[in-house]
Amino acid sequence: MKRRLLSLLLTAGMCVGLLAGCGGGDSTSKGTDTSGGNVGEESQGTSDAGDETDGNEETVDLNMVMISMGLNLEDAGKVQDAVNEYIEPLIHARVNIEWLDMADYVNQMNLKLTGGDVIDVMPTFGAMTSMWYAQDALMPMDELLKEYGQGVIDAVGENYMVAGYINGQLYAIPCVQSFARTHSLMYRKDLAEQYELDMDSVKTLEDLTPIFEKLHAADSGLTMLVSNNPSDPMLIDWAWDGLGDEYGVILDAANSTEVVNLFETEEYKNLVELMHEWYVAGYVQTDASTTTENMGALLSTGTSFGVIGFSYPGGVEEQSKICGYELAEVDLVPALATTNTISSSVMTIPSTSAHPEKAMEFINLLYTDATLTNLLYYGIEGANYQVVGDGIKDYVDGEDMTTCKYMNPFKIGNQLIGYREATEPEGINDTVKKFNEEAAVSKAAGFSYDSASVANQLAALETVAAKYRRGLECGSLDPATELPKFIEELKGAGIDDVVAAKQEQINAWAK
Amino acid sequence: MTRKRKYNWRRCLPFYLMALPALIYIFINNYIPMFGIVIAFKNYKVTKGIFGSDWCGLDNFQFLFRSPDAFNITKNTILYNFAFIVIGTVCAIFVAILLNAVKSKVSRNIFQTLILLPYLVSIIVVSYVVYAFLSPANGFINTNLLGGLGKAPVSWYEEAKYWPFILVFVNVWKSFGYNSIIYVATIAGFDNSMYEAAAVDGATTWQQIKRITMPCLKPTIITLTLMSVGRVFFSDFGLFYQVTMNSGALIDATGTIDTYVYRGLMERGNIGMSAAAGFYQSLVGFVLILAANGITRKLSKDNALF
Repeated sequence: MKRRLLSLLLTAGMCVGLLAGCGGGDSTSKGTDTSGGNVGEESQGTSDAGDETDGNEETVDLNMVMISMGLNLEDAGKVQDAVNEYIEPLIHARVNIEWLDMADYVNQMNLKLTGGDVIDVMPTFGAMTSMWYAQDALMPMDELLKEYGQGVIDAVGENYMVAGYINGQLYAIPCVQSFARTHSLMYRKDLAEQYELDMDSVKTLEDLTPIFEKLHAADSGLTMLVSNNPSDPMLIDWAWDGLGDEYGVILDAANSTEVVNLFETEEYKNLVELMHEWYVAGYVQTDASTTTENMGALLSTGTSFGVIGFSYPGGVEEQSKICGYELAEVDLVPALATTNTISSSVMTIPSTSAHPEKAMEFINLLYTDATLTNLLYYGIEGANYQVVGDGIKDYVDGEDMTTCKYMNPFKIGNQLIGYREATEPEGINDTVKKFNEEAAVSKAAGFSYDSASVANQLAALETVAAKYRRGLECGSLDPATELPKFIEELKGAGIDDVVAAKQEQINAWAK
Repeated sequence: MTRKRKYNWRRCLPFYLMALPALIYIFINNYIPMFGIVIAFKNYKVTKGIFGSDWCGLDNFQFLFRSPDAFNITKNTILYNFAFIVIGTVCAIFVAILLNAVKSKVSRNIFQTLILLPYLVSIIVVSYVVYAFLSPANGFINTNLLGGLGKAPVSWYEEAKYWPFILVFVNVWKSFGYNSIIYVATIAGFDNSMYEAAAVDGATTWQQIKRITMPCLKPTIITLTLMSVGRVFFSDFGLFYQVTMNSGALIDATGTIDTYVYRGLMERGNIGMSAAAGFYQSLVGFVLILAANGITRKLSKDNALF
């Protein structure tokens, strides 16, 4: 009996082992596939210390990571060769670009960084910067910037550069784009015209009620509001400075540094009550809190009127293209620049870098050199894109975004020095510059809090927020009963500790 | 005696060789990474490396217990898994017996392939199949079934009370085909003369199942159950996260240790705390296996694993 059992066990074990083995193989091969056509690392190799350079300075190889969006990158290897040909005489460095897909960028980078891979230049976005800072994965850049990065400072601007500092040291350089964010209603222009809606009267969220009422009366089959981004709360960073994770925010950020628990405030209560009112009235998409579709797809159905969310220059044009209807937008809150919006995507040098000086020289080039920027953004002129008119880039004749062999929409470095795309509105670079100059800057811009002391509380808070936030902010949960429960569970999970920690750190930082 | 042992060893060699790839796989993937357990007790910093980082005692484990959800997620994890084990095993045996009663080889293979299919479907696809049924606006159940009966639609993804049933159903549907394979193979190996003798004595089919099939299956059932008991502290992440569409309103009924850890740590990438959670799950699983095996050994010594 025992022997039979043993053999059975072994057979079972082997089956499981083999199946798991297949699974494992699959996932690794997928891992390399997503890096988009393998990017000519092989062709690059590590050939050469200074074979064609003119002399005394040795050429170094930099390992750089770029983020792909699952689009065609067949020509990435050629682009890399072209980049190297261009930068080698300038800074005596070559780059090995590794493409990682946006979808699993965090995981892949976590593995690389924790595994100690040598990486010299790395773009990051969102909360990742402080996360990797907390793990000591980033290199302080103050000295490097002073020595090699004057162009960077000029491009970003001193007042926005502060957002890259953590505990008084520079760890990240904001990519130049629109630094401030506002929230807007993006809506279908044709419907607004057809039903003669007075969109100019809309200044705040509350002003939308009469508009929705009128539209609903005219066509009850329409959904007024659809979900904006399935992975975020609907009112994320609404009119406040969320200080990273929104557990503890500054409400009047342009004038104050007082940290409060957002979910207990009157402002938040009013917002979610309004959303619930709309939901009950049938204005909001019924499954807004659980849908996994993004707004482009939801608007393209033809039965949706609008969506509220982050607004940024060029956003309306971009979404119009995606959903197939002409869209327009009205702002609902004033523009505010916070640490988060300024550093929504940043360039960093990981602490595993082998050549931090060269990496900084390369980054400096990224922020100042239009040729390099256009190469990295659009590929090789003539092969991947053509210039039509003054500083306007379009696909080569007969190609579009599905056939172009170099598609890199995640634009790092300085977005304002490259060509503008033919689909972007005229003068967008100046619009963005002006937008950046005029936006209100949070008094806490540049402050990033160190979450290490409240890591346990944050782990618990994530679950509580996942339970209630989207439901409340999409209106499907009734704030009369659910908001008090939400607040109570947040307190149980320790939100007060986080608010106190933030306040303490911000006081120390402000001195 | 020595001769016999040598002979045995030589006879077993091919089997060891057959097992070798799996053993190597398990050694590389399951044993070597075990050294990583130290991360659970460290304040991990990239620059200092795994062994160089500072010790931090049990700090990494705190978040698992200090959360007000700790009891709920533990309860969910264990209860769901026990439901899966019990209902899953019953279904698998039931199907295995049915399959064995099919005499035509061709149709048996067809049935076996068909019931195996759900197991091979990615959980993401499964989650959308479920969504096609349950979507509040366009789902089959709300529009066709409830709508047809004139009943009010249900917001399935907002009502936690239905989900224990839905998840158990989905899990059993997905896995019973695979689970029954081993039972089918075991039953096929039974000596047919037992059944012939029983038939001669006038035993009904039900009696044959009760008196012959079930007792003979006992060791297999015990082995497979013992193996799954070790996993009761782990949950099928895809099932609890994807199939529920990560809906917040369902977390009380569907949150398990794995989804909790994912939600809490995914955004922050704290590998010390993740390692602590994994270590805690394995430790409890290990203790549970020892306990279950100990009980089995007390009750019937032959059937214990070790």
